[in-house]
Amino acid sequence: MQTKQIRKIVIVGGGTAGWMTAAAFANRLPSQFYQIVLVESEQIGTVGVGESTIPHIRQFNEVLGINEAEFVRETHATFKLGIQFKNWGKQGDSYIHPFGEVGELTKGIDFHHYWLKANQHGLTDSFDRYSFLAQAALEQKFPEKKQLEGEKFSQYAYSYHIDATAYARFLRKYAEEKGVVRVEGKVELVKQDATQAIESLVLQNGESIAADFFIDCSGFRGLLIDQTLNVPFIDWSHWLPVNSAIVAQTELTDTVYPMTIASAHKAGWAWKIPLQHRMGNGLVYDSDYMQDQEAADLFNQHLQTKPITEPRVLRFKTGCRQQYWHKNCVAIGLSGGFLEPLESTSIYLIQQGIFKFLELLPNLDDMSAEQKEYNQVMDYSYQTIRDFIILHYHLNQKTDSEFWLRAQNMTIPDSLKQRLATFAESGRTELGQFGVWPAVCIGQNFLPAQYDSRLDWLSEQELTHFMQTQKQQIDMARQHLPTASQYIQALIR
Amino acid sequence: MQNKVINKISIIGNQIESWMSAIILYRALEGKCEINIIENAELSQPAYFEAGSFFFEIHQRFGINLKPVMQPNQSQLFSATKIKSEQTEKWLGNDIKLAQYKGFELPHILSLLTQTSENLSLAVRVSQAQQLILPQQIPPQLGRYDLSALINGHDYLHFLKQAAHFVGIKSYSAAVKSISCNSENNQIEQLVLADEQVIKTELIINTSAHFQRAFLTQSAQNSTNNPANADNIKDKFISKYTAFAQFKVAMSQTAQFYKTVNCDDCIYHHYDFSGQRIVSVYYDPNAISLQQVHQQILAIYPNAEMICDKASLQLQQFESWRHNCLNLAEIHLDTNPLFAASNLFLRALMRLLELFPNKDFEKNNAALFQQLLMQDLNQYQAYQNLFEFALNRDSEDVQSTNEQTESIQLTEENQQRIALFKSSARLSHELNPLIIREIWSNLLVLATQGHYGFDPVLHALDKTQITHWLNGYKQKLNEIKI
Ligand SMILES: Cc1cc2nc3c(=O)[nH]c(=O)nc-3n(C[C@H](O)[C@H](O)[C@H](O)COP(=O)(O)OP(=O)(O)OC[C@H]3O[C@@H](n4cnc5c(N)ncnc54)[C@H](O)[C@@H]3O)c2cc1C
Repeated sequence: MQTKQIRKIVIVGGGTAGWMTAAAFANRLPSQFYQIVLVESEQIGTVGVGESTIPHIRQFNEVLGINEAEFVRETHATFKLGIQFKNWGKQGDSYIHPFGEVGELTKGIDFHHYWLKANQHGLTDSFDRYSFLAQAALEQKFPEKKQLEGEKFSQYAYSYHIDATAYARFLRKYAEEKGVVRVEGKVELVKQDATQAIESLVLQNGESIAADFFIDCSGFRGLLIDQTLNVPFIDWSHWLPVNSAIVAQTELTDTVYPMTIASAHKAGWAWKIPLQHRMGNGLVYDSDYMQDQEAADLFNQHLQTKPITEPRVLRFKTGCRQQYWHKNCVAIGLSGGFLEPLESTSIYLIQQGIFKFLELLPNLDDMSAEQKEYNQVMDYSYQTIRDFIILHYHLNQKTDSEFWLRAQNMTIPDSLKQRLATFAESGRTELGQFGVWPAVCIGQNFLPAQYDSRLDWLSEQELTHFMQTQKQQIDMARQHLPTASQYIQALIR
Repeated sequence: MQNKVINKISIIGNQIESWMSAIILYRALEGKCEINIIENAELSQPAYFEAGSFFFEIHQRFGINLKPVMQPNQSQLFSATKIKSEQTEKWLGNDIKLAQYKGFELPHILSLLTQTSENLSLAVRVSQAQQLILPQQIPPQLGRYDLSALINGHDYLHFLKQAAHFVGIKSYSAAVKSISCNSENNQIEQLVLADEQVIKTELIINTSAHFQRAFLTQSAQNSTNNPANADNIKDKFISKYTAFAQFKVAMSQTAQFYKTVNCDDCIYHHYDFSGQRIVSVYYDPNAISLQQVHQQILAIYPNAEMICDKASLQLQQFESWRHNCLNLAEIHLDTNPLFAASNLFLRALMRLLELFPNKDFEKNNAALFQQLLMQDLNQYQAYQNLFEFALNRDSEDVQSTNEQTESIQLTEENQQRIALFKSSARLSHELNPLIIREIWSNLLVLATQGHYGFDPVLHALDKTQITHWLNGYKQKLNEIKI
């Protein structure tokens, strides 16, 4: 049976989403058969943020055959072992959400139950004291794979902080070398056929570009998915109401931690992301609770070093598309949805959108089954991450801010309600859930009422000994680690 | 804080599941908990049951050596199923990794080269050999497969009982006469047995249908205190083959490394070891009686001996937790015509260990348990639904594009599965699945009768090279000694 094939794909947008898509497509789809064109407009530019990532990005690089040293050099990347949350539970609190689990499953019981029992018996150590990565990060150190080979902590997760513009540039080079054609120009008109499928794009200079399939990476504009195909946006801002950010780059600070720092403030939070050559800074806020001027003042206080770019204000709304794939168009990146950057998940969602689409690349005759599958999978991811981010806000105990009180008292999604209730009751979490729930919940003083009762078979001495051993193992392992900066220097030399 | 750990477990039932639970819990809980078995008499005697790799993995995980029950003339090992009908013979392999060309799995390649009528499953090929070939004997680039087993339930039970006795698990061979509950929390605190013995208990694991009917089904009003989510499953569990009988036939033959399935008004599974054949019959009790089934079997094998008969519970609702009673009576090893149903029961036991309750039997914990078990049950049923569909399609017009056979209604989920597979040989994404994707893939090849698509990226690759690869693969398969 002859089927009609996709031969030409046009990607609209040359931000992180556009170039990640172009690079991954060029890697997977042989250029003698598939023509890939990317249209971007310098006049419009990119959002220019998005610098903190999660470990999945390493899989992206691996699939594309990207060499780590080259990647780190070209994107001015630093390493990231987790996120430090300051002032999230109460003012003055601080905890680290490290990548991977804290502690390990022992005798079939998750480590946080051991910590909980010890805590109830007077242990004063914080939960992240038992995370190898959190402890390394606090000392500005980074584990070296070779050093840990065969040891308990040899399988650790990490990711990067990257310069967003440099990253797009890096991927552009990669994609163009593999045959992707870049067209500079602003799309002025989108033509559709009788079935409403997209036929072609018309640029400002009159050039027309036709294709079989279109990827909308046009950012918040949603040029194709929204403005052309009118796929509704599902608004989640009642749960995640921050809608503005001021961002600026500053000179590097003296102490650089291999983690993102997210400090809560009166009506949102602020980030610090270290790169090799500068800091990325941003202050996220809810404009209903904080005026722009007040935010700008607060942002200036937050900056530790001299700005090297002018502060910019960005506006956004949290939510996602009712469908990410509609007709012959898939929306990837900000056009598909936006979850605020608290857990650095946007680039991950871009990556997932790309890989899922490649996994399901359809024939043109009938793509309904692939489309349905794609939309279901992406929906699930957006919702899971959404819940995880809401969790951070909802679990605060602040009493002096309207913004935070609202977050404490708001009605949360049923899916989250159920998970929270289960954790509150017995510290149980479902397998395969996104993020490290115990780290965040315990970090924000939300402790289960009960630890796993089987730990009552353990005497107090046995438990104390167990906890001490865990700590000693971490201390031994981190003793000889290089600092994160030393590690980077050695890598890119 | 008050000590809430459970120290006394009563397992109700005298089945394989009951004793298996006892031994595994004993090992997993390191003997810290008192475990009693109340051998509430059941309808059937233990017969032969199927076990998949998960069964072996769990036994290994808990240090239980199965050698004594895996004797060649008492158990059959197999890696595929031969599905026979009057006109055709099809094969379904237990592949767990399919051969790949540049990341494209075998079904895509076969579809591209229009060779889907040829079954090139490694598991199938291995099963056709006249000797046992272990997975580790096969070069990894050919793929990987699992061995399933038909295990002699009687031997296994004997083995478990001995082990239980050895570690001090107590058993009581009397039925439960009455129960007494705590008036505040409705938890069952005592079991009074027919011989007047009283057993104190903190957690009950029920594997007995009798106990379920006598004590659990009626007390619906109590369940409002403990809303562990009873799920309505009446419409989901749509198989009509709800009754089961098993026969043993003495035959002079050598062992086979596959099982055989055929289907008319019943579904028959044949397992051949040296010197005997076991026939499992799954039937619709509304259409045919046990007597008729027996007669049919006797007509073919005059010396057949019936060794087990069982009707599955016709459930309206599935409620895993009722206060301190975990009800696993519905999840049997053999009530459904599907390979390795023991996985389902063992996964439930593993969930119990993951979500081990305390004396409060917290409701959200129970709800999570129920939710996870329902996910498994749904998947199990989806597989069964598709399996029955594939069996029934066998006799129909090969060119038919109609996705509904006359007798089997496909679930919506399976319609999507088939649509996706027909379009491009892809499979839906599942997290921590009961049934892995390779197994689904093999079944979908049958369910679509080989009319499925492939990843369109293959259009871009050199067909000659792909053909060359496939020929090489076939040659290597042929080198597997038959
Ligand atoms: C404040 C903030 C902080 C963030 N922090 C993080 C983080 O730490 N980690 C993370 O993973 N993500 C983060 N994100 C998200 C991340 O920035 C984005 O997911 C990522 O940059 C992808 O953006 P994009 O490519 O979809 O859109 P953009 O970067 O906006 O790119 C859109 C592209 O479309 C082009 N375009 C638009 N219209 C037209 C037209 N008509 N014709 C031609 N071209 C057109 C533009 O020129 C541009 O090239 C953050 C986002 C915000 C707002």
